[in-house]
Amino acid sequence: MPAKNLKPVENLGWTAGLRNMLKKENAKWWNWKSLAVQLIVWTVIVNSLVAMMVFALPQMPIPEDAKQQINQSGDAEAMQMLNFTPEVILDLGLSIFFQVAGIALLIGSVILAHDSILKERESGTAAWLLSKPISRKAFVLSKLVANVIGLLLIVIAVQAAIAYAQISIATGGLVSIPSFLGGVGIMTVNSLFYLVLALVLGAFTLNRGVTLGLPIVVGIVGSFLLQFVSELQYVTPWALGSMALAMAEGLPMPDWVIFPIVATVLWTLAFAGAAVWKFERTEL
Amino acid sequence: MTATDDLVISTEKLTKSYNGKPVLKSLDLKVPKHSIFGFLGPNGAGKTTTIKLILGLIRPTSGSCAAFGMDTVGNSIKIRHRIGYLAQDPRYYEYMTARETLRFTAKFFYEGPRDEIEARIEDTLKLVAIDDKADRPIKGFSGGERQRLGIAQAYINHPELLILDEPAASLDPMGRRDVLELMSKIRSETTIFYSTHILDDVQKVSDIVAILNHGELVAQAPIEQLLAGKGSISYRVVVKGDAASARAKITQMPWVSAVNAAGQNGHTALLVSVTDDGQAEDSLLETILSSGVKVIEFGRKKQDLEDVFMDLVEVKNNAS
Repeated sequence: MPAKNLKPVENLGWTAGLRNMLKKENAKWWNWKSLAVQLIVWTVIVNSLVAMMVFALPQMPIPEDAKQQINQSGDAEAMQMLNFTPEVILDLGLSIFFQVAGIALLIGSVILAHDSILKERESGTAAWLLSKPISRKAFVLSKLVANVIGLLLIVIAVQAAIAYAQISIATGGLVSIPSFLGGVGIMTVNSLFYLVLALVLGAFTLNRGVTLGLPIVVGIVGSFLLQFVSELQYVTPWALGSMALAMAEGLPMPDWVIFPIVATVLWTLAFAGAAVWKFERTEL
Repeated sequence: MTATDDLVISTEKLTKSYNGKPVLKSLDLKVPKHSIFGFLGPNGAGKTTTIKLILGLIRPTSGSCAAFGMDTVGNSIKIRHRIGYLAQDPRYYEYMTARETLRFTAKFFYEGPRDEIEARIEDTLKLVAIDDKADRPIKGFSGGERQRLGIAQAYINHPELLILDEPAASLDPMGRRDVLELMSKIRSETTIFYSTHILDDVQKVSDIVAILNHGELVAQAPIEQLLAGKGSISYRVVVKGDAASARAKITQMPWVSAVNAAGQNGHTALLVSVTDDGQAEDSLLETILSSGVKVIEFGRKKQDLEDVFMDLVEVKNNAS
């Protein structure tokens, strides 16, 4: 068949090849196999614990001697816990969701993203792709955008929805939607920081130990560092985990709540910019 | 002299160094339109480095490189839009099928009705004879099938310039023949710039040859010119009878520079190097016959590309 109607792609600027690359990168997330795996793995890791806390734990009998000990201690909060009121279950559910999801998303997003650029450089597919009319910016951006959307919609949104549903059912609808969404929003900003960091490191190094280990070390060491240098909470993502939980629980937020959020977004954008800058200069 | 407009690739003093060590030294290369340009050189000569510079995958340390009259550093995407490239060790997404790979590649170059894109993909698959394997994942492909797919993805955009880095490397003799036929078939619409070690193939299809050694261009000329050579002209004569007498007689001629003799099926083959081709044409056969031998074969010895290549590369290696 003569190709009478085929027209050369006209966009040969900095977005050249972006649409096609994005389609390929999105396809890695948006296929039945990947969706099923992501749903099962993340639900088992995050929401099975939430289910245990909000449904199974309140049904478990408390040993009499434990009850006596708590009553004798006079600890009002502990005594309240014995009753598993909806408020107690709400606190338990939110606490376990935001704590477990925070850690799981840190590690999981790094695992998912760390070799996105690195693997293509290592295997030679990056050199193959960039022998076609694709801009290097488009190459990096397609990976950033697809991974951010994938993590956001397939992992965070789905798991947050499941957690919200579970906690709402267990508490009879006590979860405040704005507070919960606010908490999830802060958790998302935090998770994307580590996802982008892991991904962009692949533009700088071919060492998997670095792309995989460094973001996790930054996350874990950072939260310890806060205990010694509290000012870091204003300019790093390290306080966002506890802020997300506090927000979801409807606790009053400090005046400076916006600083770490803005700082983390800026860090994330700076990392993305650095990756583009570096990849433009990388020899393949 | 070729006008700049007629050049697809043009480099000037193109140099590439890694950690201060030059791998490509001041390369001046001119590739005319619609030529089949054979780019030869031993391993590590700098062939792949040159190709990567043309594609903008790496940047020159100094000098310049232009394709279609545009500098490859500032216009890389526009240039790549007009190029098809097969890498020496091509890598693709193993989970994709051959058809998916071509579909993915095609969308970087053109857009249009789906059935026309699919038709072009089908035509290209047939052209390289992998249409029967089109829907198998690449991870199960043999080296030859990968190479054919490589040629297909390089040709999917019907490029103005096709760059093939060792296109016949993983192919069996039939595959090699197919590639050479394909190159001949598409030469009217594209320029082919290809590197290879298979000198026999180069001699069959190339118009122009460049030989690179240790990062330096040691020769660049139309193949006939290169084969004609600058060295002494030789004649090959097979004689029956008293070859020693014939040899002695020939050696006395002032325009004969050397005579080598070797037995061949009961006869003697003489390789006569001459300094004056005109004198040799007029008198060599007569001189031999006058010695009383019978001449079984007589002819000017044609140099093949391997002789030229080995001479040029060895001379350079010995000099350094």
